[in-house]
Amino acid sequence: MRIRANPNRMQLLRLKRRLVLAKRGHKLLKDKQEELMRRFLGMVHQARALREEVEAELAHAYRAFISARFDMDGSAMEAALAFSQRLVELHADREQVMNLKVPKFTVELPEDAEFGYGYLETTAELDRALELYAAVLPKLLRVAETEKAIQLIAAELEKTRRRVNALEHILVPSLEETIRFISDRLSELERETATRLMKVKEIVRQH
Amino acid sequence: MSKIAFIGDRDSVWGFKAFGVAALPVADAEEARETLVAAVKTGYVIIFVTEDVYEACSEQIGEYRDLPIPTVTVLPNIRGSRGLAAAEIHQAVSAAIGADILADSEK
Repeated sequence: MRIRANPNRMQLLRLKRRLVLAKRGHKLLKDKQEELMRRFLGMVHQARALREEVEAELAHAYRAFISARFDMDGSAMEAALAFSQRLVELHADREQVMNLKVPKFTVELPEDAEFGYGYLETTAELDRALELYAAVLPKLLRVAETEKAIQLIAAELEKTRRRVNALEHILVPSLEETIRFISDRLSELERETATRLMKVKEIVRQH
Repeated sequence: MSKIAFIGDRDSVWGFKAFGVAALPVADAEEARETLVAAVKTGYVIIFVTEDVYEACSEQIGEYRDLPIPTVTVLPNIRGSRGLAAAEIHQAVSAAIGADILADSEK
């Protein structure tokens, strides 16, 4: 597809400059795409492994919790959970991946803190269940972080891929075609002038 | 205030309450949607939802997907996993690469 441009030297120069710029942009974007892809694939593998691990552990914790729940009165359970002192502290940070900011979570879980509820109304099952929950919680955050990063990078990759393709398959070819057209046109004009001059010379000589 | 919220059926989210995070039990799809929107407005950084909630609010969650905050992550509920999270990863991969390259490796 040719760009509409007047076939003159001014336009030719301008188009040539645009072509150089487009090619450089294309190269940069392509590099960006490759780097993003490299990180993305690494993260995907990591996320899948992590996800499997977490779902298994979570299922385990859930089972323990259910058995604790059967043994305990609902209101006692509610009270025990409300009194718990093992509060997690979340630090949300950002990590730079290329031009993206992906979330980075760190979690503080007081390891040695007591759950803080009385031993009388609660069962050992609840302790065990909450122990499992405590183990899986930091991993849940890792899953959240990795999967969010994957989603963000996927969106960016898609955008970059579109841009690379637009440059590679549309802008650069059409610039090249237009440049070829203009330089053909200019050399045609040159030949025309030359023949005209020859003709004029001939006419002048005859007189 | 905690920055983490769990939304899902009561049994699935209840236990997390012991860690001082917000456990928001919901009973049906309508309630789930309302709770999710409210939770995002409240400013939770990470919102874990069960697969049921995820399905009920998939449109809403899609809107948050490309934003850095909130991070909405799907979890299996207490009755087990249906593999929605794996599907989510697949979807991201096929969007990014233009082909589902993971599909073959699983078979």
